[in-house]
Amino acid sequence: MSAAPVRRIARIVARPTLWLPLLSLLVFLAVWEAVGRSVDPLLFAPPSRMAGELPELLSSGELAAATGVTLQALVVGYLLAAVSGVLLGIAIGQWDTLGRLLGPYLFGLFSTPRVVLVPLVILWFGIGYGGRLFLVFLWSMIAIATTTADGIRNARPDLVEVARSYGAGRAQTILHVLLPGSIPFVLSGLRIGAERAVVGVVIGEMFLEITGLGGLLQDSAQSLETARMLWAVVVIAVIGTVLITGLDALERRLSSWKAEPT
Amino acid sequence: MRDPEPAAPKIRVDGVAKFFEKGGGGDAGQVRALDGVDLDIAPGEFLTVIGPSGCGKTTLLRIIASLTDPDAGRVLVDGKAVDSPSPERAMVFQSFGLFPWKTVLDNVRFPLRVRKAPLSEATETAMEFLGKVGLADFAHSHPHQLSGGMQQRVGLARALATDPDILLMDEPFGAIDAQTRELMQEELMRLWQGSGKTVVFVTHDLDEAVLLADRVLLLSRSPGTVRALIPVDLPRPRWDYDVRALPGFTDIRARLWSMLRDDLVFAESHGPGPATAGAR
Ligand SMILES: Nc1ncnc2c1ncn2[C@@H]1O[C@H](COP(=O)(O)OP(=O)(O)O)[C@@H](O)[C@H]1O
Ligand SMILES: [Mg+2]
Repeated sequence: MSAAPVRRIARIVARPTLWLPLLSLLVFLAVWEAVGRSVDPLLFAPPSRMAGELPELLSSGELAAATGVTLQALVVGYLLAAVSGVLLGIAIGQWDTLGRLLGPYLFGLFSTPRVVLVPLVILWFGIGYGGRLFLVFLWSMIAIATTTADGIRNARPDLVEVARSYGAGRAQTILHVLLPGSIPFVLSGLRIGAERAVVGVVIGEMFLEITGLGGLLQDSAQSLETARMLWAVVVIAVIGTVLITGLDALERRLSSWKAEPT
Repeated sequence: MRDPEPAAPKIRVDGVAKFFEKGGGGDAGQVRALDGVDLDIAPGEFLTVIGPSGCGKTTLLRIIASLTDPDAGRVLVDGKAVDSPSPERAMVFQSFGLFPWKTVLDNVRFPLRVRKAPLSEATETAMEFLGKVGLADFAHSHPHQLSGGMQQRVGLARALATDPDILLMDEPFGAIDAQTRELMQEELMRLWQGSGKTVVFVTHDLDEAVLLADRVLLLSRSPGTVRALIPVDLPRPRWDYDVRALPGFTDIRARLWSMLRDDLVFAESHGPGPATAGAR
């Protein structure tokens, strides 16, 4: 009677998609542990020492608080960037003149390392939330705006003409044709923008206002507490991964019409 | 079948000419796509347009739809000059022109939504026309899940959904296999007969041109001008007997072919390139 479910579970566990990542994680941790033990403890920490630090980090609420601060700036800055980036991208894609006017500044800013601009940001926004938000927002917004504009410019002219032939105005053409046709571009922009936003929030917390996970990282690095520092790194990596995974799910949803079975 | 000089034409094409800059840079001159086209189309008339490829059939249709401005002349609908597209002159495209990300229902609803029809009303109308083309069961499919013939039925339902006075069709069945095409021709005739709609139907298929038409417009090779307008006085409805076997059908077909043949032969010996202003 109980043989069938057991066999089913065995089959699930035996799936390469499940055990391959697990195996790779185990190997990774083992190598990390080995390396971590053989190096100067001031420079690196093995997983075992990190695990030892965790209860203290959790019970003091330090890690949770830092994560909260980071997430708050990240989410607000990224959402602002997504909305305004898509809108600006549509505008640039529609009006070439606007693209030519803004393009050089956007690309110039986008390719400038943000750390270099931190002093300027301090002058403009002071040391605090506004400045950090700006570091999350602007570069993410530029990434989203430029890719969206590419998508709008690459819209199928035959479908734009169909919309026009039925008397669609500019707003309707954008809504029904240009934007849906640009979805793959917008999503790749959102992905680049997410990466930019995560880096931006950490830069702000490390170099502008010492706070959040970036601040935790900076502080513990200076006091040579490598285990605590690595925990900050792990949480930042998890946040980035969750964001990208969410965007993948969004992409699957939005392009589901391609994959529907006949 | 129709009075050749009705009191008021539905569509009047008045001295229309269209030139395109020849691509490839240099001073190669202009492509004369259409030159001095005059044409009256009666209300409720089914006009088919035929001519060698590149003679300006699509350009003429796009000018009637106001998707392109003529370089000379004008188009009058109900006596008024038109200058912007309108769902009153609905287009059916050779490549269907369906939005791939929209469902069949959303595609048909599109012109109604553009006109700000309430959603429930738009849905009802769209479903009615999907029913008329036999696709009610596919309302929630996406275009790529349908065959070419089904996709063009969606295109037809979309064009009809706003109840236009004029249907402009650019080789709508050109990309559809021969057997399905015959079915679609019959369906189109059933939808049109008694509707009072004026149809301008471009085709490169002689049989199709004669089968559907009240009159066949033959355009000359580039630059397109009106070469002949031939009435087709075959009894309607034409789907419950074998029109192609009638002597009247074969006579008209033969006449059209002999005229069309000269231009095709010319094109074969002079290359497909259209005449240019500079070359003359
Ligand atoms: N947008 C355009 N730019 C340049 N030349 C064009 C354009 N559209 C059509 N033409 C030219 O005008 C002529 C007529 O084209 P078209 O109306 O598409 O012919 P048909 O539909 O009869 O095959 C052709 O020589 C074509 O190359
Ligand atoms: Mg054509």
